[in-house]
Amino acid sequence: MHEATIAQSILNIAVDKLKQAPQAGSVSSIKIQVGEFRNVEIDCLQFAFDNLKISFEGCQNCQLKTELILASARCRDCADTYHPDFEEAFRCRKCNGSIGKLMSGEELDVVAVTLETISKEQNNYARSR
Amino acid sequence: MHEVANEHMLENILANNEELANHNRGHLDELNAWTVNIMSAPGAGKTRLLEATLLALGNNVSQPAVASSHRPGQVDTRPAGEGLKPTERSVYRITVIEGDMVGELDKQRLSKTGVPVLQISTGRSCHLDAQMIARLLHAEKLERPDIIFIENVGNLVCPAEFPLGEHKRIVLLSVTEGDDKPIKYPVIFRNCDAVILTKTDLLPYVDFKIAAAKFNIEALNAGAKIFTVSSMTGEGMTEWLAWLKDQLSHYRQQFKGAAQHSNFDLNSANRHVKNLNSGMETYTISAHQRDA
Repeated sequence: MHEATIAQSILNIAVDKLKQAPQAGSVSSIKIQVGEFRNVEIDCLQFAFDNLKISFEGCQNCQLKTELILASARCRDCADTYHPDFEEAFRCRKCNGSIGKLMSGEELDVVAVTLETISKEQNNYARSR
Repeated sequence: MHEVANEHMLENILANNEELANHNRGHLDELNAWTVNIMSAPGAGKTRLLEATLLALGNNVSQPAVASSHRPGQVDTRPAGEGLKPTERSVYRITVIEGDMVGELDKQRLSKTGVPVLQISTGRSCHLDAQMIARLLHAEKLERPDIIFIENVGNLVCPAEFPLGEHKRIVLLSVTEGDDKPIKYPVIFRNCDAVILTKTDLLPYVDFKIAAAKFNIEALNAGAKIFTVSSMTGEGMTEWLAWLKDQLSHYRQQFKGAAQHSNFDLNSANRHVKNLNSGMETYTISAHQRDA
């Protein structure tokens, strides 16, 4: 269950972004990319994220948006680009060669954060209280 | 009224672990300790392979023949030390870092060889991470090891995601697990330097094709070195040990005379270590001297 660790790291990034933006009051969404060649189960991650976010300041309503990035491999033998999959035992469809370089599929990144900014009126109101 | 600010960015989610892994690597390099992370499913023979390896290579081994692996609820019928006789003059100072969720059974087994074994109990966590290793490196005074073996928690999934600062990553696959496992757990087999097919003494009794396993590993990781080893009989150990020695000498060559280069400030490196852990002593030795 290392997805819990990953969910925590994502929430830490969200909290950092919030701290860097003094005008912002909360994080409304965070978008991540997960490569196919990472051991990350997106459903598990979503579950962990939704359960953990309640204890992170300003992230209670934060939505986790995930994008799965398909793997793309350059064949070691014929240099063709192909999608390595289990059905073909990860081998090149053209020549049955093996994975050389992975062009994509190893991502595990935060790519966007959406912050809710408190408007001036609200900010003044909050200060006056 | 809420205004919305969108920020596009690119931040590695596990950057924290990677930074700590780099930090650990710095410590290990300062100690000149070549470090190998050993990963596999539970029961693939990591501890057994380590026992055999320590006996063959460790110069701090006190008991050459160990009767090992007598565990609660299990009767050990093997002759004491079978297959575990030292194969040559032992030359390397070794330390083992033992990662397990609970208990110290493996530590007890490996300690019988006389090699220092440091335990990390991960509790409910299914893998070691860089922070656990960092804490240990800061808390323990290591006896200037030439080699550190880190035995990871038995698991073919999670450990693949958490580099520890190691120099090499090894994955074990026992013949009782099946030759299809590399393609079922592609990530870990893709991201390793060598694969050891273990328990080859059981080949007559199981449906495991060495050629098929090699073919599957090669599909993912053509650069990986593949060994076939039986830690019980000692078959294939010679190749594995030769590789270890070879890799260690490659590692040391990188550092030969490195301290003389202008961009390495030994004093500041020492200060850095002292700041992190006042109890840790630093040594300045060249690989060349240590070989002597």
